[in-house]
Amino acid sequence: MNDARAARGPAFVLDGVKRSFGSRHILRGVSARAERGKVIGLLGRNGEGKTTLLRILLDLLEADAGAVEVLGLRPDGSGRIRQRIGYVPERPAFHEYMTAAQVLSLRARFWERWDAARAAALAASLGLDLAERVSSASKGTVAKLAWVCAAAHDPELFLLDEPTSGLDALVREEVLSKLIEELQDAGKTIFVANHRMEELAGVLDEIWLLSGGVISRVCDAERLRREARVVSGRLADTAKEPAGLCAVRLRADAPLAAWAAFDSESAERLLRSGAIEGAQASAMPFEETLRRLLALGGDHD
Amino acid sequence: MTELLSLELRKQRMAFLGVAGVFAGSFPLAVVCARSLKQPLEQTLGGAIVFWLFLGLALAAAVLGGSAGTGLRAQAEAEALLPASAEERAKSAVAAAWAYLAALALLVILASFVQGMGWKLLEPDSASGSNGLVWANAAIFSFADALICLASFVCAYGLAHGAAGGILGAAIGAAAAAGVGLGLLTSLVLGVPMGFSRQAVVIAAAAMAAGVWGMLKLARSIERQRKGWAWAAAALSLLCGPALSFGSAASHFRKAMSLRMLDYDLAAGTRGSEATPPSALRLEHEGVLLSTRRGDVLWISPDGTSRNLILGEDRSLKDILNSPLWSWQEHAWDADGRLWVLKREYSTATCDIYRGRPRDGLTLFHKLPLKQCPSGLVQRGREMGLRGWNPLQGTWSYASIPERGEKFHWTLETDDHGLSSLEALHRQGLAAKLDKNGRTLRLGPAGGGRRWQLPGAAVIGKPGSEYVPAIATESGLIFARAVALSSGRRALAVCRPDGTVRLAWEGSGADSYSVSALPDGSRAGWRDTRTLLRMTAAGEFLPPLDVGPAVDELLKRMPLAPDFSKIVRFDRESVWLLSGDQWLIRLSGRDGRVLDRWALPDTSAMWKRHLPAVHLGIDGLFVHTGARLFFIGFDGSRRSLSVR
Repeated sequence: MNDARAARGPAFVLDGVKRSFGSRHILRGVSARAERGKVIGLLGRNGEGKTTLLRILLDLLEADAGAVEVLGLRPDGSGRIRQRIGYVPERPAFHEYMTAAQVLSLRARFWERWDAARAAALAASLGLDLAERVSSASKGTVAKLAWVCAAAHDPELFLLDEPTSGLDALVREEVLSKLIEELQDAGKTIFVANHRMEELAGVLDEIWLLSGGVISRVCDAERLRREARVVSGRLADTAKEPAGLCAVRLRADAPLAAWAAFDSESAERLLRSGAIEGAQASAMPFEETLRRLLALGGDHD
Repeated sequence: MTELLSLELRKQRMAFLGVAGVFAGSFPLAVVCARSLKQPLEQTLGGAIVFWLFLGLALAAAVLGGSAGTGLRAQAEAEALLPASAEERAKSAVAAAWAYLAALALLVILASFVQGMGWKLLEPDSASGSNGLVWANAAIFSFADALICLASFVCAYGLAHGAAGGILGAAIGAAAAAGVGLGLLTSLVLGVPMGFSRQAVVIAAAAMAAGVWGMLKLARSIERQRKGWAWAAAALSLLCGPALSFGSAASHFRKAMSLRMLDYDLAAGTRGSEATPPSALRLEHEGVLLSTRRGDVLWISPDGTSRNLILGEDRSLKDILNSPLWSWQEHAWDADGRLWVLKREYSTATCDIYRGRPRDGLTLFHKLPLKQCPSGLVQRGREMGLRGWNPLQGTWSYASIPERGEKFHWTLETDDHGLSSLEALHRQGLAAKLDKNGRTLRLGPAGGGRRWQLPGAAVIGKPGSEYVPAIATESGLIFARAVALSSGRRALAVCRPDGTVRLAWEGSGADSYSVSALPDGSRAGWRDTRTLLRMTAAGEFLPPLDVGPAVDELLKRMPLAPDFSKIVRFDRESVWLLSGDQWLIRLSGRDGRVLDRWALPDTSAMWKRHLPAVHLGIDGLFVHTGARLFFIGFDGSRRSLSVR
């Protein structure tokens, strides 16, 4: 199956993509490649450009520089790329005067592969009231509607921007369970920007760290989950911290010191470096791993 | 695109319903106004419809366009994810706005038909012809309103503000339409047969295309948050319409003025007296005189030979604005067949009098200060004079034009120019005078005192009617006057040089004996609406010719102008009639049958400008269409004459 996916090419490729808004340089040369069938989490602080990157992939924004290819197509402003992408924005917007049914009906006229039965089934499975008007719908209802709109045309690529933002726990669970369902469908690629990435811990294949306007680090999610450690002990007087570690110092208030090492190699090197006396390594919860990873940035390349 | 259009129609529905509601409400309002102001209901309803055509649709266009623009902007987030480009969405929005505007325009037209005006609401001047003007006006209004809608959309979309966008768009669209209107009016006001319709179409197409182009650039820029020149491009593209229209109108005006300078009209002339000999009349009709706004006086022969008798000069716009009648000239022919031209030059305050024969050229005969130059040239028999009103004295003055270098001697005259002329002719022996009993006709001392006893009594009415002007024939001067016979009938008493009196054209008491001189020296006229009177240049009075059957036949076949009465030539075999400057008709000179008829070139452009279009020549007619000069022979041949 991997060979089959590889034969169809990557889901998308970014090469030196730049984008500015006035004097604010948001993306400063993003280069990355997403293979088909993978679930990729995009991690980054607020304002790093996650949404900008997603909109560029959706052909809603133009890159100032660099090359973009999505599902073998180059964005040209025509919107044809969006025929094959399912997108759930952070703040879904629909025509206020329409009902949920009318929203779906409108989309059915635009998407060539729209499946009305699938839409109806999804809506039913999410408990979406199709007669409810958008103007009076709750955040949860709007989120469910957005999800149905994203999935009903059987897209090859899902782009999810904080798909559970502002939702209560029950709705989040409903939406996430749909996400997992899609994972079971071969060939779908999911690219999700989510602050609560730990909610996807079990399904992520890769985690991309967007920092300083570039993809500063691509981590294998399974390896991260398995190898991330906290290395702690007493700080040695004379030993120096080894260079090139995939690690973040957690505390350095003498005599105690601690690092978060994101791979086993970095943990081993720390343990053998002598920088810490009496060093001990312990497993790091995935949630904390992701939180610490945000601090990594490009400083530790 | 269809789906997008459908979506936009749904979104803009309320705006359209609002405007349509205002339209519908204007009619009850008109009824209320009619009652309260005590005006005819038809008038107020018609006024409401005219308002909607000229102003209402334009305002509606601004509202619909502005609403569409802000609507598209407001729903950008909801619609951006649709698999359609920003340009397609913008195009659909504009198309929907235009569709609603067209629907409203149809409602206005429908209301016009219900109210009874029909297409007349598009015809400011229904007497000037309907179809072309209707379509031209419809095209202009369509362009103006469509451009206003587009401009309002672009401005509202760009500014994300419906009201500001609507106002800006209305101003831009109205400016572009105003430029087109000025261009079209130029031809009308200046009377130059130089159309602006083609330029108007090009301007409209270019303005719309530029506006759409700018709109698409702006849409892409806004939706995709592109920095760059799109905003400037959109603004420039919208200004393209007004710039093109005013620029074209200005260029058209300059060109029209230039052409108008060179545009020639049949020169205004004073008709000589009946005493002008046939030989002199022939000289007068050997060609045609043309004059231009520049002050040129041209003499054109039937073979197309052109001679510039007086050179004009180019005028500046300041000259034109300061003195519209900067060069007013008139001409007259004297009894010797010489041409006199009076040219007033307001810019230099002078008055030049030229004299000469066209084939030899004219020379400057007198030059006067403009203040001393009265109304115009008058020919009184063998005299050529100037006659004018003196406002300070409140009287008319006359002076015979003296020889070169001599002074003008002015005499006061009464208001009655005709009486003064007849008295002058009598002094010259060129008019006889009836005794009070109307039975004796006498010449004055200059005529040798000859007298004739008339076989009947001539009626003497208002002052001057006691004079009988001479008619110059090849065999001398004759005097003719209608007299009442003892039988109760009337006839023309012809007093001949040998002292005899003969009767001609005896007829009933209601007959007319008015005849006019023709270029070959003959005379012709109508006794009634069906009988022609003819006198040859030799003085022979031909029997009246009954052309009634011919008139009936012609009336069946073609629309004849009310002035179906001008005889332009005759010989023993044929009579030629000019019907309303549209037809040349040849009748048999023996039995009045129609022998030939020829359609003349279209001269409607000239009569619209209240200018003469036809000048009689000896062998044909000079016909001026406004754009070209033709010579139509009495055999129906047609030749286009080059003036320059």
